[in-house]
Amino acid sequence: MKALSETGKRLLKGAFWTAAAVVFLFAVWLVAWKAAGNDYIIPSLSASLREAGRLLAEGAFWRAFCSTLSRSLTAFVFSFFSASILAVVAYLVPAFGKFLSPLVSVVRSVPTMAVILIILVWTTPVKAPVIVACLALFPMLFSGMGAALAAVPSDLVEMSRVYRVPVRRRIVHLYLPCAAPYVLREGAAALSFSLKLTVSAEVLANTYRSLGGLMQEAKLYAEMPRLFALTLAVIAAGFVLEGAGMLLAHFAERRASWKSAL
Amino acid sequence: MEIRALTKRYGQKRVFENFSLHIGEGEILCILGESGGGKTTLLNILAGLTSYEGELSGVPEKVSYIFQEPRLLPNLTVRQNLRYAGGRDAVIDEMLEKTELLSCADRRPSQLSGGERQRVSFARAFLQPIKLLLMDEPFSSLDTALKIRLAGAFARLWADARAEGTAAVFVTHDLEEALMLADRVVVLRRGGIAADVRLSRTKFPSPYGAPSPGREALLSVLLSDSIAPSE
Repeated sequence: MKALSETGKRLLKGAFWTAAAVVFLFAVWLVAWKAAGNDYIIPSLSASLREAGRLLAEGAFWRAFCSTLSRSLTAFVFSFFSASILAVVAYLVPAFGKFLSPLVSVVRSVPTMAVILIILVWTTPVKAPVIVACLALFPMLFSGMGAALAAVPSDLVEMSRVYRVPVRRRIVHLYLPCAAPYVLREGAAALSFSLKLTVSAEVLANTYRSLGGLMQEAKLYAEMPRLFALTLAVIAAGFVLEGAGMLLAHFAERRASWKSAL
Repeated sequence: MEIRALTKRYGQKRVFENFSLHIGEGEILCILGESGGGKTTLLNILAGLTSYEGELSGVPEKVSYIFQEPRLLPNLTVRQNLRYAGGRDAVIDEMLEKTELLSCADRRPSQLSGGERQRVSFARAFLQPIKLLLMDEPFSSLDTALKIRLAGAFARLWADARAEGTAAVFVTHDLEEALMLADRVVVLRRGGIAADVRLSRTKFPSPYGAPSPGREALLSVLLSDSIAPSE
């Protein structure tokens, strides 16, 4: 333990608390399973984990997983870039921001799962989950980007104006180092959320070759261990995506040295 | 440089109404006044940061501004901060030498003292040839010894700029700071000029707290509540 660096100790502590949380969740599952007393309502942990093992060996599972991941990433990338561009324009042109604000509120208020039924009339079950995920992600990312830009210290922006600092230099040395960590953290959360949204929409749309479609099938045949195993797979994937995003944000923050320099 | 018929309001609050001021070439003009009197607003108008009604003639588009806080980018070193503001390496080295900061060139602002950070902002203001330098209470929150040291650094930087006709407008609420550096002091009160006093000096900067012929005139204006016609 003595030989561990501060970072190592921090990581170990984080891993300990994560493991503690996972153990707690499994304990809750065990209690719920005992209380339900019916494997068609809540299957046992062991049955679900065995089924998860079987899933990992199935080619169909991995094809479905890759399709779902690809859809959720498409929704995320489209939402991220459109939200970024519009947030920057709104920052530079406040009137445009005021115009956009009620529109974003409307999109945020749209009941996305209900809207999928309308979208399914206009498009295919393959594209509909992407559109639904975009509808939910865009307002979230737009607000996050706006907040990140607003957090850039106004006194430094003013100083840059007075000294006529070229735009490119301001972006590289002022805006990116200040805003990037916030944006990456927001993006990490949105990435995991995108996966969840896409899977939910796939269940409703019964999308072919998707995790949502597999879940719908498992529910139809009352294969509860399989349904729970698929849910665990989605949770694990979301956890990994969010963790990867947070790690990226952490390194970006350290590279920018903005927070540590303050 | 001339300011004519300047009017500036923030909502119902009138900051300036038909205000006029002349700024001479090569002079350090100090604007004295109470807090909220419009001193910083005047500087921001000259810097093009605030809208106004009225006429500014002879005021350059490009100015340098020494703010009350240093306003340095925390993720850049001293040298990188000066490059950010457009300085070239040869000039940066010269300015760092004049402000006694060469040994701090590769440090970040968090590794500097308050006085050192403010000296960096002084060096930044002189990186490029300018016709107008604006200073907003640059010595505030510094102790007397640091003020004197910073004034010395300013004097070394100012020598070349003054020779090229650069004017400076320097805002403070501290009479002693005004007497230390200014060629002329204008007292602002209720959006108008309560006094306009030209100071004579034998030394630049004048010793802090030293007797000065203009002190009594300025003190009487600062302590009175009336607006006198400007001289």
